[in-house]
Amino acid sequence: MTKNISSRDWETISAYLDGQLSDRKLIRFEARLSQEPEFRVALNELHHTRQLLRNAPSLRVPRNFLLSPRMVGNPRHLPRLAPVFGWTSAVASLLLVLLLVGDFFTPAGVIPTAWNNVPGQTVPLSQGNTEDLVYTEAPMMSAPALGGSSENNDSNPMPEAELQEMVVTPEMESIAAAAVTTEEMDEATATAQLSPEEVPTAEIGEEDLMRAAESPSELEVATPKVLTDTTLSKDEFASESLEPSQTITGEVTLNQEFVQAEPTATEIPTEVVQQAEDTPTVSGIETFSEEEPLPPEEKFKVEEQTSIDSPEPADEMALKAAPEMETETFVVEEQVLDKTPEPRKSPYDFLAGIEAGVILLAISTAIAWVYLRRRGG
Amino acid sequence: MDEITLIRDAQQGDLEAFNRLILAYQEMVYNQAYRVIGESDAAEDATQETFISAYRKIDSYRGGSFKAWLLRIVTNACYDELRRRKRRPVVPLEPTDEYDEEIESPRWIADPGESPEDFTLRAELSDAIQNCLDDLSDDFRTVVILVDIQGMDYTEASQIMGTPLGTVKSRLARARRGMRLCLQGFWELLPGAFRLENEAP
Repeated sequence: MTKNISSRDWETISAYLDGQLSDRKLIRFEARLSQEPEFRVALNELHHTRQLLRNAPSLRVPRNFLLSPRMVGNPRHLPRLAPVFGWTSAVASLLLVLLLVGDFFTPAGVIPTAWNNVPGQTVPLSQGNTEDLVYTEAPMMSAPALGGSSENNDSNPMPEAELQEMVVTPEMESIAAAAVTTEEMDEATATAQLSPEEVPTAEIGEEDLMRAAESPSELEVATPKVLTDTTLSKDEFASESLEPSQTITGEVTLNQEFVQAEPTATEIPTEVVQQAEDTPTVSGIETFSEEEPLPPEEKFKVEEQTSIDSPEPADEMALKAAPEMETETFVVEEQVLDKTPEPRKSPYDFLAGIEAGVILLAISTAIAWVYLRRRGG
Repeated sequence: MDEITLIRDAQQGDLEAFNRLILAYQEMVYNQAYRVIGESDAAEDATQETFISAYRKIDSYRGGSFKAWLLRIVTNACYDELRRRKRRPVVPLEPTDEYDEEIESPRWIADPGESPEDFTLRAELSDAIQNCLDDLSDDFRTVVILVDIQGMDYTEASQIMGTPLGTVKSRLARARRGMRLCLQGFWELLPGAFRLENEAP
C-alpha cells in the first residue's frame, strides 16, 4: 500500500515524526496526509518502528569499566612539561629562521675580511706599504696572468694589491730559471718574460740552462731551498713528497721566448749568487711556510716578499709578464690538500656551530613536545 | 557532586572523579557499542577503549552535552573496530551455559528483579532489533541507533557522526524504512505490547 511513496516522501514522513519540518512544509504535508491514505499508513508504520527502537531493552554492562592509574599510564604529570618543550621548540625555530635570514642577507666576504685583518694573520708586503695588507682571496683554480703594465690592470681581475704581493725580484727569478732544465721547460709550457730594461742581468741563456742541467749541484749551492721548490716542473711537483713547510704553490710563468732566445748572459751574476747565499731564506716565504701553514683556499697564492737587500727598489724589479704570454697553472691541489695542515678556524665555523645547535634544539624539543602530548592524550 | 564538577576535577587529573562519570555513562556507552558492532566482546573492548581515550582527551572537552561527547568517541571506536573486522573477519563466540550449550540471550541483559516472562520478552525484542540493525549498513545503523535508541536530536547526531544535517535526515529515513520492513517479519514473534498500534504521532 505504501509502494507509491517516493524516497523524498519517506524522508518527509520521517522528519514529520521527529518534528523537523518547517512551518510551510508542515502545512503542505498535513494537507497531503489528510488527502492520501497511504501517507497515513506509512506514517503509522514508521511511528511504530520508532517506538520499538525507543523501547529497545537497554543491555546491562557485563562489568564495570573503571580506570586504574596503570591503565591510563598516569599521564597527568608528563603534560605539564609539554608546554615547556613546546615554547622552547617555537623559540628555537624562530631563532633558526633569524639565523638563516641573517645568513642570506649577509654580504659574502665581510666576515673573512675582518677576520684576516687580525694582526699577525697576514704577512706585510713591505715596510711602509701597509695599505697593501688588504686581503684578497687567491684564485682557486687558475691564477690570472700577471699584468705587465699599468694600463692592463684595468682589465685584469686580480687586484693591484695582489699583484704587488706577487712581485718577484730578478734575483729570485734568475736563480729559479737557472735550476730549470730544458726538458722541464719543454714539458711545462710555462713561460716567463723578463723585461730587459728592468732586469738586464737576470736573463739566462739556453747555454746556461744546459750547463745547469749537466751540473745542477753547482747551482744548488747558491739556490735557496724554497726557491728551488718554485722551479719544480709539473711532474716533479706532482710526484714530490713535500713537507708541509715546503708546500709552495702558485703560478710560475716563464717565457717560452726566454728559452729560445739568444743567450745574453752566460752565467749567473756572481753578486746575485752571493746575495742568495747571504740570504738563506726568503723571509716572506719562510714566514707563512713554517709559522703559518697555508689554508686550503690560499694554497695557490704566492706571497713572496723579499728581504734581500736588492740594489734596486722592489717595484722596479718586479717581474712584468707580457699579456700574450702562455701561462700554465700547476695543478697540485690534491697533493697539497693532503699535505696541508688543519685550516684555521674562522667565525663562520662558530656560526655554523650555533646554527647546528639551534637546529638540534628545535628538532629535539619538538619531538619531546609531540611525544608528551601524545602520551598525555 | 554534579556532572560539571566531576568533569572539571577529571580535567585536573582526578581519576576518581572520572570513574564516577564512567559509572554514570558506561551502560549508555556499552549499549551504543553493542548495537553498532553487534558482538558483546568487541563492544566490551570498544567501551573500555572509549573511556581510556576519553580520559586522555578530556582536556579537549569544551562543554555541551557530555553524553554526546562520549557517544562521538564510542562511535569512532566502533567504526575502527568494524574496519578492523572487515580486514580480518572474526567469528564471534556465542555465550554458553554450564553445559556448553549456546545461550540465545546473553545473561548480562537479565534484570534480577524481573520475572522470567519479562526477561524472555525483553530478550526476544532485543534480539529482533539487533538482527534488523545488523542488516543495515554501518552509517544507517549508527544514525538510527543515535536518534531512535539513544535519543539524540538531528543536530547532535550530525555532530557525532561528522555529517551534514541533511545527510542525517535522509539516512535516518532510509534506516527507518529498512527497520520497518525487517521488523514486520518479527511481528508475530513480538509480544502484544510491542505490536502495531494505531496511535497518532
